[in-house]
Amino acid sequence: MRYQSVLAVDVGSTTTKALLMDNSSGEFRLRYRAEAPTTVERPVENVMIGVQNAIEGLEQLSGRQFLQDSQLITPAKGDIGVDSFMATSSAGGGLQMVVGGIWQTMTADSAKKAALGAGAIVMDVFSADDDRNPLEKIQRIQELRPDMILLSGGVDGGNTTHVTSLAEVVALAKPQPRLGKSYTLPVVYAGNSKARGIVDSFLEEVSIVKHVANLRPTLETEVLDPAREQIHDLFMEHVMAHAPGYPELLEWCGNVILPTPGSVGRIIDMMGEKFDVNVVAADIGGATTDIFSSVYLSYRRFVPSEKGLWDRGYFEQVNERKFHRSVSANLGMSYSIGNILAESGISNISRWLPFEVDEGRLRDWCGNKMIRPTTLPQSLWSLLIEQAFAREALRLAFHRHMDLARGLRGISIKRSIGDILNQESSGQRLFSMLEVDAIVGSGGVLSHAPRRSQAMSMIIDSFQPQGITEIYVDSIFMMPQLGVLSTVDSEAALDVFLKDCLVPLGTCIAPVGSPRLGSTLATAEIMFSEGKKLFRIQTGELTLVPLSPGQRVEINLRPVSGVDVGEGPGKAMSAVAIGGQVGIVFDGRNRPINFPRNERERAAQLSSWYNTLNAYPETKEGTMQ
Amino acid sequence: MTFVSELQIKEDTVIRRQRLLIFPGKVTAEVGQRVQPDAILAKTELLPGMPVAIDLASFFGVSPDQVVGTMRKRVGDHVQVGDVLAVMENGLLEGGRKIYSSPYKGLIEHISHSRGLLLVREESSIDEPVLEVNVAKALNISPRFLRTFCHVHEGDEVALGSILASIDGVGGEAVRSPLRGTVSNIDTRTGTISLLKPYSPSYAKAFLAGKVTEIIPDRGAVVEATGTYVEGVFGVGGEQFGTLTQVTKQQDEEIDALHISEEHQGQVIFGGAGITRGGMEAALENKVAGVVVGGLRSMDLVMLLGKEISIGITGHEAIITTFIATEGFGSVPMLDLTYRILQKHAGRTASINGRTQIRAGVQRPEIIIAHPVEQLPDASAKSANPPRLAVGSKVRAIVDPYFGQAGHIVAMIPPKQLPTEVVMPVLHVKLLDGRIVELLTNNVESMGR
Repeated sequence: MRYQSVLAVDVGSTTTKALLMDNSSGEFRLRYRAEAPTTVERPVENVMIGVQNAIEGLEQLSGRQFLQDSQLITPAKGDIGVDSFMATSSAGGGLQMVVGGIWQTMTADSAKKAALGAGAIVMDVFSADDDRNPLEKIQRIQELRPDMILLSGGVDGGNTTHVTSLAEVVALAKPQPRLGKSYTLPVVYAGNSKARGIVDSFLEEVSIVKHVANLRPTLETEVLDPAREQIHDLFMEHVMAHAPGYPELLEWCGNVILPTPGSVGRIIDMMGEKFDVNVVAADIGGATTDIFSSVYLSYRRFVPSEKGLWDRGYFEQVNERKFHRSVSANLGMSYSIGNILAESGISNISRWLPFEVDEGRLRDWCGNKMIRPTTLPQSLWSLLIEQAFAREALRLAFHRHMDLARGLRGISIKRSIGDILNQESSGQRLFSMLEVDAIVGSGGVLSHAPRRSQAMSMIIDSFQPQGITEIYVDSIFMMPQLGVLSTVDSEAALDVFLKDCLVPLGTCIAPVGSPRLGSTLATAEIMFSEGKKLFRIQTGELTLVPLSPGQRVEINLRPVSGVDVGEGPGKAMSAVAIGGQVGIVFDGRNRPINFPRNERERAAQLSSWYNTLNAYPETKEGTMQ
Repeated sequence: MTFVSELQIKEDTVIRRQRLLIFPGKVTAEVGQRVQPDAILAKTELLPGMPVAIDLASFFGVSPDQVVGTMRKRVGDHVQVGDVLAVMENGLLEGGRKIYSSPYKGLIEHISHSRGLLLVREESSIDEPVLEVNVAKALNISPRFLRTFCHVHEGDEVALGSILASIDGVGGEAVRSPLRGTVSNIDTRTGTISLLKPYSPSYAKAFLAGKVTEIIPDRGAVVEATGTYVEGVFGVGGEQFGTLTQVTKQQDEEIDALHISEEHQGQVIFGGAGITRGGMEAALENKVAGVVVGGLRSMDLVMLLGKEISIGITGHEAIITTFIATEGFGSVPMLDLTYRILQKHAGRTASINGRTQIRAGVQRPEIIIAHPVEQLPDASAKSANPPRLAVGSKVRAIVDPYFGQAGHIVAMIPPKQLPTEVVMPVLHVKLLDGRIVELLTNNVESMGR
C-alpha cells in the first residue's frame, strides 16, 4: 500500500522520536524529525504525553497541523493531518520474556532464538538440566515478572514428563503482572504436541496458553517462525494493551506496534537481501543494545537419515542467507549504564579514555547517568566517557550475538573419517568478521555523535572488523520507524533508508595476523583518479585516507606472510573501497586491539588514534578534565 | 520540548502505604486504629524462603500421577507433625498399607502432579521445645569425645537429614538431624546435641505514624498519614524509622566518623554533601537507623555492599543502616530546600526506605515525616501534571560542573554549539550565587515557579 504521508514514532526507553515522511517532491523522503522525553515511567506514566510532545515538535518544524484536541488527524485532509500513523516501542522495558526447554543446548536454545528473533528481551532460560531445582525456578520467575513465557521441549510424539513439569513450575510461580492488575500472563507453548492437553491443565487457571508448532519437531530440525509470529501477536494483544497509555497508542496506529528490535531487524534483513551483502547492525538504546546480522552463509548442514539408530545422517553443503537478532537486556546508555560497568569492569571502560582516569569520578558519573537517564553530556570529558561506555556495550552485545549465531546444537551425528579430520561439530559459529561486508550503527550515541568520525571510531573499536568492511551510521536514528514502514510499503521504506537514513562513513581495512610491533602488516595501493598512491599499514597504528561520500577507489592489498586481509594468510587481493564522511581507515591495531599497560602511555596512544581520525576537538592529556 | 522531571518534595501531603505480609497470616489491625511506625498490623509464623519438598512418588514407589490418589490432605490445609498426609493401599502381597506422616508442622502449598512432590511451608511456633539428640549413644562413643565426631558447631543451621556427627568423618555411620533448625548446644557431659527449631515470625508493621484505613484479609492493612514527603534519588537498605537528627552544620559539609557516636543508635541522621567511608563504617558500627545526605560515592557503596550497583534495583541489602542520597552520586551539597525541611523537622520521627528502582515501575527512596497522629489535618493529594519550563522557572542542575546548584531560568536560547560540538537549545540559568550558566534542558530538574 502506498501512502502520501506517514508519521512514524519510535517510543524508546528514554526518548520518543517522531518522523514525518511523504512524497511531496515526487519521491518518498524524510521531511522532519522531532523528539521528546519518553513518559512511560513516573511521574507521568502515560506514553501518550511523550508521543504528543514529539508530534507537537513536528508541527512546529513543519508548520503543519497533526493534532486536534490531542487527537491525531488521520487520514490527511488537505494541508493537515497524515495518511498513516505507525509506531514501534521498546519503552517500559520492551517485551520481557522467560523461556524454557528440556535441554539447555537444544530446545531451550531454540526457544531463546525464537524469543530473541521476535524482538524480546530474554530475562532467563530454564531447562530441565540446569543447576536449579524447581523451587528455585519458581522463585526466579516470581522475581522476574516476565511479560510472556515461551515453553518448548520434546520432539513430537516423544516423552512428555519434562515439559509438563516445566509448565507446572510456571503454574506454581503464578507470576505477578508487571503491567497492571488485570493482566494475565500469556504462555506460548511450542513443544511436544502430545503434551498440549497436560500443559493446558496446568496453566489454564494462571495464564492464557497459545499452542504453536513445535520448535524442534525432530532433533535435527528447527521451526522458529510460528512461535515468533505468536509472540508478536500476543505482544500486541496483551502486553502493549496493559502498558500505561498504550491502549490509546494502539488505537492510533490500527493495533500494530512493533517491538523496536523486530522493526530494525526487518530493515537490516531487507538491506542484506537487496544488495546481497553480509551486514551486521547495532542499535544501542537507553536500556538495551540490539545486534542484527544478515549473512550469506556457505556451510555444511546435517541431514538426518531414516536408516536407523546407527546411521543418524550426513552433512550436505548449504548456501543460504541467515538472519539473526539478539537483544542484550541491561546493556544500554542510560537506565542500564550501571550494568555495562558491572559486566565490563572499570578497566575495560577506562582503556578507551585518552586521559588518566580517576575511578571514583568515573563511577559517580555512571551512577548519575543511571538515575537521571535523560541527561546529556555538556563537556568533552562527559562525551568521551559516554562514548567509552558505548564501545563496551557494543562489544559485549556483539560477543553475545556471535554466541547466538550458531548452527543447531545438540544433534547426534555419525561421523566418517573425513568428518573427524574436519573436526566440524554442531553449534559452531556461522560466520567470522572477515566475511562481514558492512556494519551499520544506530542509536542516539552513534547517530547523534557530534562528529561522524566519533561514530566510525566507536564502531571500529567495538566490532573490531577484519579485512575490508564498509561502515555506515543511521543518520538520525530512524531505522525503527523505517522497519515498521516496510511492513506496509517496503519500496518506500527502502527509498528513505538509502537516501535519508544510511550515512556512509567509509571503509575500514584491517589486516589480521600476529607480526611484531612496528612492522608492516600490509601495503595498500590506492588507484585515485589522479594516480596511484602507496600506503603501509603498520602494526599498532591507524591511518586515515580522506575519501568523500559517493567516491569509490580500487585498492590492491598485499599482506605480509601470515597476515590475512580476506583471501587467506599472505594472499594479495584487489577490492573496491567506498568513501564516506570519514574516509578509508587502515587499522593496523590487530585483533583484539592491544593497549599499552602503562597508564600514561595508554592515554597517549588513545590520543594519537583519536587525533588520526580527527574524532574530538582536542585530546591533549588533561585538557578535558 | 521543555518537559522535565520534577523534584518531589511535599509538605502536608497525604501518604498511603499498603502494608502486607509475604504469606497469609493473622491481621490484628482494625480500621480507624491510630498506629505508630513500629505497630504490628499482621503476623504470620510461616517461614519465608523455600518450602520443603516431600517426594511421595519415591516413598510409595509409584508414578507421579498416582500420588494424588494417595493424598489425605489438600492444598491449603495446615498440618501438624505426625498428621497422616498420604496412604497407599496395596494388597497384602505388595506390602499392605503404607502411610506417610508429616514430619513438619506447616501449610500444604502444592501437590505436584508431574513430579509426585508435596510442597509444605513450615510454620514455626514460639513454644517449640528444644530437641535433644543423643549422639554419643547412637554412635556408641564416650560423651567426652563427642566434638571429635561432630560435623556441626553451636549456631550452625541444619536442614532435615543433614549429618550432625559420624564415626568415619564422611557420614557412613552417621546421626542425622530430625528437623530443620539451629544447633543450640553440644554437651560433652551427656553426649547430646540440642537443636532449636527456628522461630522467625514475619510481621507487617505500620512504617508510618498514621491511621489504618483499610484491612486486606489475611495479608495486612493500608495506613494513611499526613506529613512531609521528600523523595531521594538513590538509596540502599530497606525500611527504617527513627528520630531525625542533624549532624552537620551546613549543607555542603560531609558526615565523617567524628559526627557519629553511640547516641545516634536507632536515629535517622542527616547531613550535607555526603558521607565519608569512615562515616559509613561509624554509622553501621553505632547501629544508626538511616543516613540522609546529598550525595553517596559509588565507590564507597561498592565497597560497602561488596558488589556493583548494576541495574539500579536496591532495597534488599542486608545492612542495618539505610543510606539515602537526595541529589546523586559523588559529593553533592544537599539542596537548600531539602536541607531546610529536614532541619525544620529535626527531633521528630522520620520513616525512611532506601528502595530504588530506576525503570519499569520507578521507585525512589523516600523520607516521610508524618504529623503526630493526634494532629492529623485534612489534606488532599496534589495532581502531578508534568512540569514545563519557562523564563522564571526555578530549576537545579543535575550534571557537572554545577551539579545540585539551584537557580532560575533567565533566558531560553535557540540552538547553539556546545563544547562537545553538539548544537542544541540551551537555558541561561542564574544560580543562587549570582552566576549565569548555560545548561541543556535535559540537564535541569524543575523546582516549580
